[in-house]
Amino acid sequence: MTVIDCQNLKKRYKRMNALEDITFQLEDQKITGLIGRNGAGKTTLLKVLAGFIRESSGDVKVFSNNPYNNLRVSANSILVDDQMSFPDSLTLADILETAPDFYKRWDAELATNLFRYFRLNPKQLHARLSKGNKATFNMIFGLSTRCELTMFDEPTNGMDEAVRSDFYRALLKDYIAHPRTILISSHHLAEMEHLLEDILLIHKGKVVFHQSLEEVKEYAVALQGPTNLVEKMTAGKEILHTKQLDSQRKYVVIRREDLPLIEGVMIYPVSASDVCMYVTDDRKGGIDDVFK
Amino acid sequence: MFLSNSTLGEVVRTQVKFKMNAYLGTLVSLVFVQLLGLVFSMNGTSSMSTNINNTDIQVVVVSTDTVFIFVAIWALFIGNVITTKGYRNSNLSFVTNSFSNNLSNIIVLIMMSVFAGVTTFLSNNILRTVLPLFNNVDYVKSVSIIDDPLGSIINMGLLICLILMISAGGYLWGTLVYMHKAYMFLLIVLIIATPTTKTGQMILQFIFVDNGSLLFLIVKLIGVSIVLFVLAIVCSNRLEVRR
Repeated sequence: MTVIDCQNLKKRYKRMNALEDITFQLEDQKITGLIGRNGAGKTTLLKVLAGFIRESSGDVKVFSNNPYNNLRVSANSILVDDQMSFPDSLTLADILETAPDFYKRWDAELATNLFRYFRLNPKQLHARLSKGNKATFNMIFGLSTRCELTMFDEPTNGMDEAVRSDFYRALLKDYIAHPRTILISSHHLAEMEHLLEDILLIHKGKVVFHQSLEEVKEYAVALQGPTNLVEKMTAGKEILHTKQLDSQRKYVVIRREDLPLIEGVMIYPVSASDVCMYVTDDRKGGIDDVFK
Repeated sequence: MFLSNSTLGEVVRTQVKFKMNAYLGTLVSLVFVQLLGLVFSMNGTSSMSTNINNTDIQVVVVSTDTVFIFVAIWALFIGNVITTKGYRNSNLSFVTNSFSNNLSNIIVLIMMSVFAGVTTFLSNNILRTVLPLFNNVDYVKSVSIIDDPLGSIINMGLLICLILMISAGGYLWGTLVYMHKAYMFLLIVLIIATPTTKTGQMILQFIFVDNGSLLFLIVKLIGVSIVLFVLAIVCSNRLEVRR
């Protein structure tokens, strides 16, 4: 069943277009990574899907309803981000006690166990938590709601290394036990690659591709070898990335296709994370060129 | 896929429960404000002295008007404060939409107004008990619920409705200012203009003066509150959150 259906979704803010033209569909029971560079529109897209902000034009449907101001979407979806806030008069324990009233499928056991595991203080106020602990608490809250559509916006921001890997593990385990639609935005694709089934790459408010992780890994190949040979091989092809390694050798990334084997030129696979980075790079040259 | 369907009524009820819990602090501030008002009331609002046959008689009118003024300011503030960004965002962390959020806010304001109205009305009794302890008073005459039950209830209802109307005004104000900061100036202009212009005076006179009975005034106050709340709901329906 289709959980999210976006057709030509646009979102304009006063001085900029955050989303230019987003069209994609998300089936249920999949973990999808929403990948994009800073300012690509990831957060805006998630906020539209959560019903916090209204689309400027186009069509957006979550559970076949427009999410904006919709009670059904609100009851069955949650957006976990660093702007989540809870009343100052409630302690963390109070918040966990209130939640089951709102979320019918709230998993109190999971919430308590995770809460204990991460050693959060039940008497603490949400606003007083450190950045990492706040992110951890929000994550616990998001997972425990068991919402059919669970969205995380940069969930690991502020978490330390240990908590990050625990978080990914907890997410995966809970997902296997209770499959649902999970959408995670991040710019650290490499570190959560093992979780994802699909990747939705957006850039400058547009969808670049929406493919399975396997397809993304097969998307491109890298050629490395003597400059003249590599240039000959890649002539006329769409070059995604190029780097002069030294005066003789060059590294070029192109779309995957059958290439003749040439002595001296090595062919490497390109990781999904690098594919996403190269595809969304619209600069000529790298940071090194700034300092020339 | 299992989707839970929450009805509006269910969500509003849960929201009200949650908000009453979360906003408990505002009731503490109410009690504080009332106590402050009582302290200011101790000296009386007006006094009159006469001398009959070498006996000095001083009549001091002590009323809880000061308490009411303090509570009115409190109501305006509370109506306003629950529309601010922090409150709005924390409400939106749980299941809600704009309409259920507004409805539950309004219900919370009504409950608070009832509490504030009843306690303000009864604070009269505190004054009666405390006055002889601190002042050289021989006799305190006051109307109590037992003397005039119907009149007391109407007075209490009037107080509740007045407080509700003021908080509704604060609520609309907060909603408008949340939409755009410029509304702040518009509202200040409005507040100055209402008692000083002819139209404004006519409106005030229509609401507060031309009344056959107190019951009629109560109905009018409730009507004004409804209008203010509906305006707030309509205005905030298009409002985006967590921008």
